[in-house]
Formats: sequence, C-alpha cells, structure tokens
Amino acid sequence: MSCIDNYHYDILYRGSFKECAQYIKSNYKNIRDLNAGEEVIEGVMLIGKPPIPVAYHDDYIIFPYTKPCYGTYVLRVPLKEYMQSHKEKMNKEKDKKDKRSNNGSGIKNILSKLKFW
Amino acid sequence: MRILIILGCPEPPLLIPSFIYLLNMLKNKGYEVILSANPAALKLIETSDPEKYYLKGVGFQNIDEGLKNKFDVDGIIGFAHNDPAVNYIITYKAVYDAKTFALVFGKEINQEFVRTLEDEDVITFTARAFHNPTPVLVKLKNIVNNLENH
Repeated sequence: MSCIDNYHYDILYRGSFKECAQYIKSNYKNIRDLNAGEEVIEGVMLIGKPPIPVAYHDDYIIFPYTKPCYGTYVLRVPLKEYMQSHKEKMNKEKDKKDKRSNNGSGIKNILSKLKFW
Repeated sequence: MRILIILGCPEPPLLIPSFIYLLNMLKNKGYEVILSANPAALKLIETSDPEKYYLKGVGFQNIDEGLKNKFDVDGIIGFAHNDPAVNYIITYKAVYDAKTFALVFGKEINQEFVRTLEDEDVITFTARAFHNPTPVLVKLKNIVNNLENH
C-alpha cells in the first residue's frame, strides 16, 4: 500500500504534471516552490520538474502527486494530518541523530535496505 | 560502476524484454545494476526470468521507495514513454545527483517529453517503437557506449 493511502486526501484535478502545476498556480495564492524529491508529508515525495508548486489554503496543503501508470493528480490533504506527519518526521530525524551519536559510526549502508535477486 | 535503471508503467510490450537486454549488456560489461520500478514491472521481470539467470545479483526497489533511500550511483538510465516516467527520471536525477540518460520511445515521439528532459540536463535519446524492440535496442547500445565515454 502506498504511503498516500495513510492520509485522507481529496483529488482536485487530474492531468499531466505541467497541467497540475498550472492548476495549483492559477487557483491558489499561498504557494511555496519546492524541489523534486522533497518530502512534502511523511512518506510522500514530490515528483516532477522543479520548481514544484505546493499551496496552503484554509486548513489544507495542496500538491501534485504522480503515479507511474495513471499520471499526475492534484491532492488536498488536511493541514492537521500534515502537521502530525511533520512532527513524526522531526521525531524520526531526532531518533536517527541520537542513534548515530550513540553508535559513533554514523554512516549506515543504505544498500543493505535493498533487496537482491 | 553502479547503474540505476528506472522503469515506470510496464504497458508498452517492448519494455520488459528491452530491460532484460540492457541488463545483460551492462552485466557483461561488469556494471553493478540496481532497478527502481513500479510493482507490476517488478513482477513481470521476475516472471520473465524464473531461474534468475539474468537477474542474479541485481538489486531492486519500488520506484517510490528509491526516492527515500538514497545511495551512490555512477549513472541513471530511464525509459520514458509517458508523462509520469519523465517526471520520475527528473526527480531521480535531482535526488541521486548522477549523470542521467533517458530513452523516450512510443508510437510517436513526444517532443515535449524530450524538451522537458533536456531542460533538466538529462541526456536524451529517442526511438519510434512500441511493439518492435529493435529501434530501442539500437539506442540502448548507444547509451551504454556513452556511459563509458562520459
């Protein structure tokens, strides 16, 4: 199950990435331009050509979300869930830092997370 | 050298056989290969090689997970036949910060995909093909030769 399924999202628009970025830019005022690969909410990375517009409106965060077979969607997630995920992210980072300082070695081999045939 | 290959939606018939061909080519040249693909593409690849003749020693991950677990790669090769694939390739380039090649293919070449990729400094090749893999294989050979030259 994809991480976006952990959130209560609404689909506002569907199209190519360019159309979705344009939809956000023309419908919202409070916009932040973020880079490709940035984690917009816990477990969900931004995919597309930077700058990627992310809007904040009322109590929602609005961003483009891409699926390999289905194209790009503009999603709306309640800010409350965003704040919660942000807090979890900060805690995780803190834990990681603590672990690193405890281990001393610091660098963890990410390749060990990969599966091999 | 470690090469990351990106496969998006496995809908085009030539995609999985062309990937196996590319994998064989890269392994014969001594490259270490890691694959980021969508779950359906991973299943199709596993099914194509039940004895793991080609796949042995190849690392794999879900296309979304690959953006969270970054490691060092020397080159990225991506297959692009639709808008999401183009966006994934650009995003992988930004996250992994490695030299990136893309092969744009399809029944017709979408010039907007090519422009978008080139704007982001992705070295882009094109092949007009959907069922018949031959034009794609020719371009894949070019890409592998380019990997050595860069």
